[in-house]
Amino acid sequence: MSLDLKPKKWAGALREVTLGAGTRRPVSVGGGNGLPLHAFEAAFPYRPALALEITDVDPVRWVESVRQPWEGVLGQPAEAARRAVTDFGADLLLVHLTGTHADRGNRSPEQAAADVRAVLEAVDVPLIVKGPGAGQKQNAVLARVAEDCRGEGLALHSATNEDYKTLAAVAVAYGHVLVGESPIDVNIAKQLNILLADTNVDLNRALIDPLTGGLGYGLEYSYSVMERIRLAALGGDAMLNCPVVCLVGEETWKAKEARVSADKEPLWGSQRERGIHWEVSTAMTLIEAGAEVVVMRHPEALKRIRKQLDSWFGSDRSHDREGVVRSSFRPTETSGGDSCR
Amino acid sequence: MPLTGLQIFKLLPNTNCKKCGYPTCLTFAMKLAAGKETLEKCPDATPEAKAALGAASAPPIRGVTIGRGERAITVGEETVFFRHEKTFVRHPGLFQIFDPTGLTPAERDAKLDHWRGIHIERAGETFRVDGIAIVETAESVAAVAAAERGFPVAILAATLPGATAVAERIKDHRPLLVPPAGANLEGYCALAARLGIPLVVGAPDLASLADAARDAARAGVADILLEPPGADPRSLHHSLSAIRRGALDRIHPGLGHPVFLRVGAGEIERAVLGITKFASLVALADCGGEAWLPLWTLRQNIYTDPQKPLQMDPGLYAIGEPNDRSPLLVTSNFSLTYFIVSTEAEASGTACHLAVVDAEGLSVLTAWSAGKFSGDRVAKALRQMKAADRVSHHTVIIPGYVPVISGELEDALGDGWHVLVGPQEASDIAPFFRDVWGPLARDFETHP
Amino acid sequence: MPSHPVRFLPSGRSTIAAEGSSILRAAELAGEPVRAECGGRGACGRCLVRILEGQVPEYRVLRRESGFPQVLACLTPVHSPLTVEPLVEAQLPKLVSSDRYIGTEVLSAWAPWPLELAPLVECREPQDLGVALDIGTTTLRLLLIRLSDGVIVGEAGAYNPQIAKGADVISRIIAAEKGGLGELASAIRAAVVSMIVEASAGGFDPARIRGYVVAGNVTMIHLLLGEDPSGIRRVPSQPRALAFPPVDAADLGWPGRGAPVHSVPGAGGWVGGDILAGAVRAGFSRAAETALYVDLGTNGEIVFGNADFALACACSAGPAFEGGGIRCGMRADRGAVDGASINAESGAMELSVIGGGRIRGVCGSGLIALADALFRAGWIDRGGRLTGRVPDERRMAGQWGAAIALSAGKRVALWERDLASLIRAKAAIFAGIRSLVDSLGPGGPSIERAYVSGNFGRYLNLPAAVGIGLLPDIPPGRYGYIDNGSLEGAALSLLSREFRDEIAAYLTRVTYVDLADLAGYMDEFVGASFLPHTSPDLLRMG
Repeated sequence: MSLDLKPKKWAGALREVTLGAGTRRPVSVGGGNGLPLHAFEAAFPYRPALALEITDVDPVRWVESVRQPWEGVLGQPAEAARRAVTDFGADLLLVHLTGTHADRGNRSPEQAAADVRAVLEAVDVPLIVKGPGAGQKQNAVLARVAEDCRGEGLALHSATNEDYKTLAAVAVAYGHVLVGESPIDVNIAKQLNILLADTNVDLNRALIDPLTGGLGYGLEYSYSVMERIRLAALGGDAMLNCPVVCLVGEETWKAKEARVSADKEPLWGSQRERGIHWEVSTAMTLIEAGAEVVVMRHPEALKRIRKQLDSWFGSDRSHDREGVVRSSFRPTETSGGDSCR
Repeated sequence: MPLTGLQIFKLLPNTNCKKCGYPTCLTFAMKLAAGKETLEKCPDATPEAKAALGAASAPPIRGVTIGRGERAITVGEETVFFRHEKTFVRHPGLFQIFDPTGLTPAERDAKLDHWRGIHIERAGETFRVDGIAIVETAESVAAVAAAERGFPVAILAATLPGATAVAERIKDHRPLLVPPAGANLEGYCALAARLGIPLVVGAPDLASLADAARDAARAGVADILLEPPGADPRSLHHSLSAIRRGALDRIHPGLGHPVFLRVGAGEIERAVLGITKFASLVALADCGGEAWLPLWTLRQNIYTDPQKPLQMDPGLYAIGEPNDRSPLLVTSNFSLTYFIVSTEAEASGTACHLAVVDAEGLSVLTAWSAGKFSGDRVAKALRQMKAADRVSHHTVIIPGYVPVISGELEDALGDGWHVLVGPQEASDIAPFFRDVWGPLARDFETHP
Repeated sequence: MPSHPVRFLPSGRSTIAAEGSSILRAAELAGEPVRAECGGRGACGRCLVRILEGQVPEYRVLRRESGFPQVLACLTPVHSPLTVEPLVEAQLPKLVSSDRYIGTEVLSAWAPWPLELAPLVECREPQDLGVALDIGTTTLRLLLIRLSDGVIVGEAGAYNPQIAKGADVISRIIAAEKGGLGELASAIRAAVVSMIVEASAGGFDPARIRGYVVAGNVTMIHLLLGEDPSGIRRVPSQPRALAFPPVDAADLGWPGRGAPVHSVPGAGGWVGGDILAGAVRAGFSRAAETALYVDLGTNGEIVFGNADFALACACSAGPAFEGGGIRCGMRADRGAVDGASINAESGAMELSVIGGGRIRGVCGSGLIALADALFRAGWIDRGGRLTGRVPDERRMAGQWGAAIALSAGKRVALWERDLASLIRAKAAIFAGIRSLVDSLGPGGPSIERAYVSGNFGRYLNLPAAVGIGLLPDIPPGRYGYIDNGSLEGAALSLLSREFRDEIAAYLTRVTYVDLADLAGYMDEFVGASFLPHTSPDLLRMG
């Protein structure tokens, strides 16, 4: 008896969003017309992009096993950036301006902008810039960064339903991409995109951050919301088909299970391995749910995820004449029968 | 296509006789539509109703039980592709692959006892090694040892005669028979059918796999697991997705079985793929707790019913190493609330006590409006936890969303207890400790 | 345990308050009327007080005026002797009656099918009277009816005095649990007596009252009869009973020797006799068309069905439609804004005010009209927040965020928080409607007729209500407005045994749906928390 597994065809597709412009070597994400990783029945012009997180000040809360590969460059954004790109192979960087938070250094918007410029000079990959958290300071910091780094196509993290107008304005004015953040809710994610579109943000220059729950700490909520977002996008909803970005590193390394030493919990095994498995499992699971940009902390975890993705997308990364980075992946033709070797 | 509540209602007698235990036929119809009831409860259901409802109800993926006794595990009976459509039903078994070659009996038993002794509590669930997948060796004692310890056993066969010997010895323990890759299945089917034990069926491509499963069923094997083709992540993902979709869409009867997956040493990502993408039994080569813990946790997350929040066990939890002067926070036992509060409390750097009150898994505000987070209830819980013995300051910090319970809570606690209204957002716990608790704690030091 | 004297000015009431207890508790002990409409959660702002003497924690101070701190009484602990001045008018204004029912012949005006005059209570003489009563969570309405011909001879209205213990049902249940049941029962019974006196003012004798029919939600009936309501808010809801036998009017302190007080039975803890009376009054029990009945009140009850089936739910909309919980909110009284429009070219805003004259606040229908007008003019975004289009002279900012001034002198303003409350209320209702209809399964029946009831104003601006996504988008001709279905149903029950029996039979067919059990409800609620909706396709239900 033959197996008639019809490929599923959808009315909609993800938007293609290009990160980085100006002096950046651009990276595009999105554009797929099927469920995540369903290469057997859909086309995916770009592979998920992997980013590493670097910080403006020494991240004292990072557990030792994560600090260790960054030894010598923690809190030095330009040096950390070089190591992240050259040694660790990050496609993108997330510059986390934790030092601008009132309790952690209270660095000024000018200082923040100087840090981001230093990174721009050090490497040519696109940047995501994350502020100190929702509030007036974040708007001031990101607005200043946006202005001083105009035209570089930064992804500004982040706008929310309650506070989006400032960032929407600077993203449009200075040629950046805007990340819209919503609290693990499909409707709120959609509402934010509608509000952004109403204020003339081009959704082809927007990403969705649905908020990541780390493994054991809400992962399944993010997972299901992301699956529903993807289904809506494929069903033709033009307000939900922006690519999704997940801040995996930040969330997973908060978990007690990623940090506690085996001395305290012998059954839990080696903390170093366990923490990396924790980050890898979260990242892999969310890529299956549709993450198109994944921000990580441990370079070994990033390497392992890259290797997984190579299975779908191949390991060559060649540039075409416009300078857009494309993977060498081309979808295979599928017919009614099925073969899987 | 399942029938809607209204469609079912039109098939019922519409007498509201209440014999089914529901106040109206419509209520009963809605429960039937949601899959929460069976038509048998209606003594007056017509043959037409029975026919219409019967066809829609046989599960697309059969259930299979492996092992016997307290640790027996049942897998399968899944009905959806996406967990948010309803829920995933039976979480996959995670088996330890065990090759006893070269081990002395004492060493072998020590390993089995160690695995049997593992249990880790998390959010109301006990993680343990669900079963042992024994690499078939010349003698079958290891399999017997595992089975006698109550473990469900999977026999990773090398040869048909070898597998037969082992299977016959432990057939009463309902072991799973796993033929080697590429084997001719005929003999294994006959063995499984004769002994009445479940069998894994594998094939190099999906069409052959479906046919092989169908043939096994015809040969009298009642319980089948499918082993999907695909060594690399992309192929495996394809097989797993196609099998689940094919089963739900009833494309081929051979696809309607649970899935078995073998994972080599260190292949965490392959196990992740299996757990998220519908495998029902994953056999993992030897790895330590650093791999098991994330995989158990992932399984717990993915297989949580989206409509039933996980609940923490009520009790007094220590964040960091608190002493009798550390602050005491109270919150509800909705696991996400607990995780968020405990994470922020830990990140604050201030050790504290976290009293988790049984609020039936509801978040704080929801619990309060349902009367499950009242001052009386919280006081009773704190008394049961003997909170008074743990903190000398007799002050409890309540979530900022329910300041209204403070008076009632103080009254109910008596004994000079103070109630402090804490922040509304967990992320404000650290500033709260610094700006509000800090000065108060200093006051307690000087004016006990 | 230390304690401190607390004194309230200008009333002079005082008490001794325990160290650390809230100022609100001190007010309760002192008998000082301070409103706690949110039940003391710090959400409604109605307990704002000025501290004239004494110390309060700095982190509770909302602002200072002339050096005197202002705090919320419910959240602020007593740590020293205090002199306190309440800032929000705690006394309820008198509800102005409109005399619009007097002279109506009930059966010919309101009967959904021909009904014969057959009063539920014995009519011995031509001047014998009956009372139909609607006890709403917020407003009470009473009709005095001549039993011999079924004509309304007197009417009265009042605000439910229980509001002082809480604007919503949950707060009142909690107040009852804390020992306030007796007080809540007496308050409402006394209010009814006042209304009887007022309604009899046209020369009628209350001693002639032969019987009462009371319609109200399940909690209101419990409180009236002095029954413990605490089981109602349990999950699942467990009221003491859904149908109570008639009690003697004298037991409630009401006139009419031996006059029975009947209450219309409910169908579930959250769907009471008021709604059932209204639905049967609208013809639901006999109609072939599938119809929707929505009560735009605090409890947001909804009924959907026809002669063959009936589903009901309650969606906890909150008091926004009756002006509650809104800074500028008020009942539909003189001085209330009840309509609004914004000229597309000139940008000028025009407001209609009940009774003309000075603007004192905004009632429910005014809120709906404003939200719609502001949204269409682009003065607010889909989340209800002010945009740059708001003219400078109307824009305000204060401790509650941004606002749009409504009155000259900016005394009355519509705050972003108020719009958020309205959006939440309308989302609860629309999500309830959607969830209820969808609970029958996909491809369910469409809404062929719809009735809207409530105390939000004299009329409902239907295009505005649909425009903001409060009510479904169906052909406008399918909508009907019932002023007070509960009151009308109570009157019909009083005058027709057949109608009363029809309600009792209908109630056995009503399937109560607990929205908390419906997996999709929260999702629908968030989706509807947007103007007009996150996915506007979902508004079309015709």
